[in-house]
Amino acid sequence: MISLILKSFRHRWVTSMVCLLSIALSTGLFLGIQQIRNSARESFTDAVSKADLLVGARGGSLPLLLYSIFHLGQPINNISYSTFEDIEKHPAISWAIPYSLGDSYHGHRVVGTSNALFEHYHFRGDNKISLKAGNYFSRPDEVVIGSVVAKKQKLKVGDPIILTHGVSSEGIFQHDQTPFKISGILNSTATPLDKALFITLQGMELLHEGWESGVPPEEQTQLSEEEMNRLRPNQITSFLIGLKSRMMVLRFKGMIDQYKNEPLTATIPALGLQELWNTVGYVESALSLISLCVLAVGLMGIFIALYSSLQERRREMALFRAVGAGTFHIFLMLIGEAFFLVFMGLIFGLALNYLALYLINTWFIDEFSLFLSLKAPGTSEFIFIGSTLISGVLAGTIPAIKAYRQSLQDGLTVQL
Amino acid sequence: MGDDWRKRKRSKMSAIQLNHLKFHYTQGPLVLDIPELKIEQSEKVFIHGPSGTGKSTFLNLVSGILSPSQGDLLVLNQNLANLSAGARDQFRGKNIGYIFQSFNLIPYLTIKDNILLGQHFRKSDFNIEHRADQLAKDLNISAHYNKKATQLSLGQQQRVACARALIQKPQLVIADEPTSSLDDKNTIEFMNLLIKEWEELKFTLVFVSHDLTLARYFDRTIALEEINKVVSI
Repeated sequence: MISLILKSFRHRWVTSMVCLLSIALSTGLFLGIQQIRNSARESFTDAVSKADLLVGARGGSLPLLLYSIFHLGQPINNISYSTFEDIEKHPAISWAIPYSLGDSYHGHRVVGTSNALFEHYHFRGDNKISLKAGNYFSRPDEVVIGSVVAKKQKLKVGDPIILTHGVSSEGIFQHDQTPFKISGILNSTATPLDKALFITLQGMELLHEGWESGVPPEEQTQLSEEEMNRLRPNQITSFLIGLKSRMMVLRFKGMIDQYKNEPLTATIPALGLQELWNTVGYVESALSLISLCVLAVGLMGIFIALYSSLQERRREMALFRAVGAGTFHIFLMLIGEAFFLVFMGLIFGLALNYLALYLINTWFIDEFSLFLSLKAPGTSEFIFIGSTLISGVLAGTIPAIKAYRQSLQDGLTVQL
Repeated sequence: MGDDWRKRKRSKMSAIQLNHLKFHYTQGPLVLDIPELKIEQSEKVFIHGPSGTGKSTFLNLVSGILSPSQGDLLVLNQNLANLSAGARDQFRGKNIGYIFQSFNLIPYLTIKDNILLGQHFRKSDFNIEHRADQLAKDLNISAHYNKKATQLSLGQQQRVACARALIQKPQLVIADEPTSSLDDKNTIEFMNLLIKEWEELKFTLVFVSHDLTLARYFDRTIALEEINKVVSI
């Protein structure tokens, strides 16, 4: 009887395909949204771990988090380096990573930082930064680059590069008077680190040597290594700290918020990420709603397709009955067809979902620093698949009942 | 003594037997009232009757789609009233071959699949494909065996219907105006093939038609309006 259903499906393939495709589309959309949401959440929350506080100039904690960790948007205010030095000395602090932002290389952010980044930055639980080639920077004119940067710009250790002033990819001023040399390339971390370049804080000063007026100096300034090492950073953008004891976090946060010398903001990264997540949540609900509407259209399509085919099927039903089919067989055949449509729709939808995720993966990394992980469907996906199957069978029930009654009434003699 | 018993038994074995059969649809008026009708095994019976004489109801009753409201209906010595709807469906699939006036074939199936359509609803039989080949040869349709039903002429389609009805070697074949959509040439060809098959299998043949010229192929002619008292009143 299954082969009979398949052949009947092939016969009515235009309407069947429309139903099947709308089920597939909604399934793909719904599951895709779920997966993007989950991956995005993970990607967000995994970008930094084991850090207790993120400190920057007074302002919203969300922008602070976005530009420091995700390299999105631009910092408005900097903080003085002396503040960093002062807080770093506090006995409760285990480590501190400074961030100095504002320059770029072909759209990739340049991060001025210290060796503390390589030593203490954690992501996705226990993972730490590691080198794929070369060494970490040891001179102010050396740069360490993320794996995506290396791959996209086809860079290797030892290559000289010219950084750009400002963060847009078409920056006006090039730092062409101070070329940098690549000292190392990082292993892929599947975090925004992959898309960034790292130089020392001195290197950041070196870049802007003679830029006091805000424009490049007219004369080339060649500094000796000795002069370079004497450079002292004035300002940084923010810094990440790890405390010796987790118990201290709230007290320390309070201390920083009330820091006397300069207005500061401290945020707990995990909480900030949660806050960030809540704002994105609306878009996700809207998209889920849309995909459910598409699903409803698909299910209604199945209902209409089956229902409107009943009249033309009356003679078929009489034929089936003549060769020994019972009214229950007739009922089952229609339910079976609805089930088959939804089932195939789900299969196609799943395929569509994974294909689309696979295709947009790189785009997502570039555009949003989100790393989509292709995962097998989880509980919520199975609930969706299960309830869609059930609704499909329910959509087939009314036409099936009608067909059952019709064949009961017609018997072998169809009066049209 | 033994011979006598066998004779009696044999005379009791009728293909169709109606005793005081009455039928009405739920809360509807009486449509069928046949005091007595007996069709012997292997008999070829021609039934005619204008529309409104209960022909559809009669055929649905004999094939076990409907169940009598009153009286007895024995088909192949089986009292259909004693069987459940599902059991009647199985009984029909196993013992009765049915040929329709038109639309005998599922358009999206091949000729072979159409002949074997009943296999979807009954127990599989290993020799059935071989028999389908044989029947297709007998009925001159083997050349079209793997074509879709819609590619065949009406005459060919009715012969496929005949093959489908005979595939199970049924004891009873009901043909409901099978030639009314055919021209004279195809009608004669169809009748000759049907009778040829009857000579081989000796099934009971109940043939319903308006075309009285076909009555010559049959042992007996029954006018439905004469035996159904609902009409004669």
